[in-house]
Amino acid sequence: MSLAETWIQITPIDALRETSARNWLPRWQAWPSPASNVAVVPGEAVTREALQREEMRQAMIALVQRFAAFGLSWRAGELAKITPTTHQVSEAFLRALPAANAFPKIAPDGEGGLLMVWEGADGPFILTIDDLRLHGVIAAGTPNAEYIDDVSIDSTQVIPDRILNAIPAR
Amino acid sequence: MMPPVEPIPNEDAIHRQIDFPGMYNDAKALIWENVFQFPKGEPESLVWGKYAATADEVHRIGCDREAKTRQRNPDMRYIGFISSTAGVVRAIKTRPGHGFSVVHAPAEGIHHAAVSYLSAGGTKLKRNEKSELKLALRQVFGGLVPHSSE
Repeated sequence: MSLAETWIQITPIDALRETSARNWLPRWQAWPSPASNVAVVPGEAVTREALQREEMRQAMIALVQRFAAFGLSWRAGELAKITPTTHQVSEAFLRALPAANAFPKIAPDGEGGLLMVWEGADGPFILTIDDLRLHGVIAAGTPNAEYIDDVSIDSTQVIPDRILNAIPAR
Repeated sequence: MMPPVEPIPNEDAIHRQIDFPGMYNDAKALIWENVFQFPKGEPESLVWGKYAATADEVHRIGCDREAKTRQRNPDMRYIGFISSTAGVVRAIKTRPGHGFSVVHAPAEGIHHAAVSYLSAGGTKLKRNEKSELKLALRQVFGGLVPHSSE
């Protein structure tokens, strides 16, 4: 994949028109995808704010694709990539993130996983996507830190309730 | 011959040099600065302030390293450094009691130090515990002292 190809995904026109023609693993094709076209955001008016949010979602998905293709590090050496499975799960996660929730900042974790970080009123919520497992810390780095260990995901629920409840509202 | 390993006092400054690949410049606002990745659990590199007492000296070490790095990765740029002290890093303790060690590691140059995970009781760190440590470590380093060419 070239760098240019990763950016083809980010235009708002594509965000609205593109149906899910991506090369998903078959059993993940049924995962909910509110951003793939307007028809799957039932009842939501196509406001400027909604379009901006979908544009942001597509930019984040494009960034995840770059992390898979090229990697990212902050120090000389091999760029840390995310694994192909982490890539697909992360993309599905971002597509499934409800409009009520904030988008995270993201980065490769250096071990093939993807870090998602939300700044919340009670401290950061960190989520690590490690292939088909999710690992979270609520109020990370505080004395009240709460650990969510090894949550499995499957094709019926991309974002388990326990994780969704920990993600700050926007 | 390798220089002797010296103890790093808690009050001494430590710096983390930061490289950034130019291809991500347009996406910086979306990226969390996971500047300490500990790939495969390996230590991460630091510059000990004892042997790089000014910003110019830290930058000079960064520029020298960048010149070598760009031979194999032309897109990589040294953009500056962030700073803390050894004692502040050693004082990090997450709720389960995990933290970090900071030691002199002069095999890569007399200025070179290393920060490593230090798990409570020597237990194997879980994935979320590592992520929390990375966040805690980033939080005790200050803002970027940019390299003047940026």
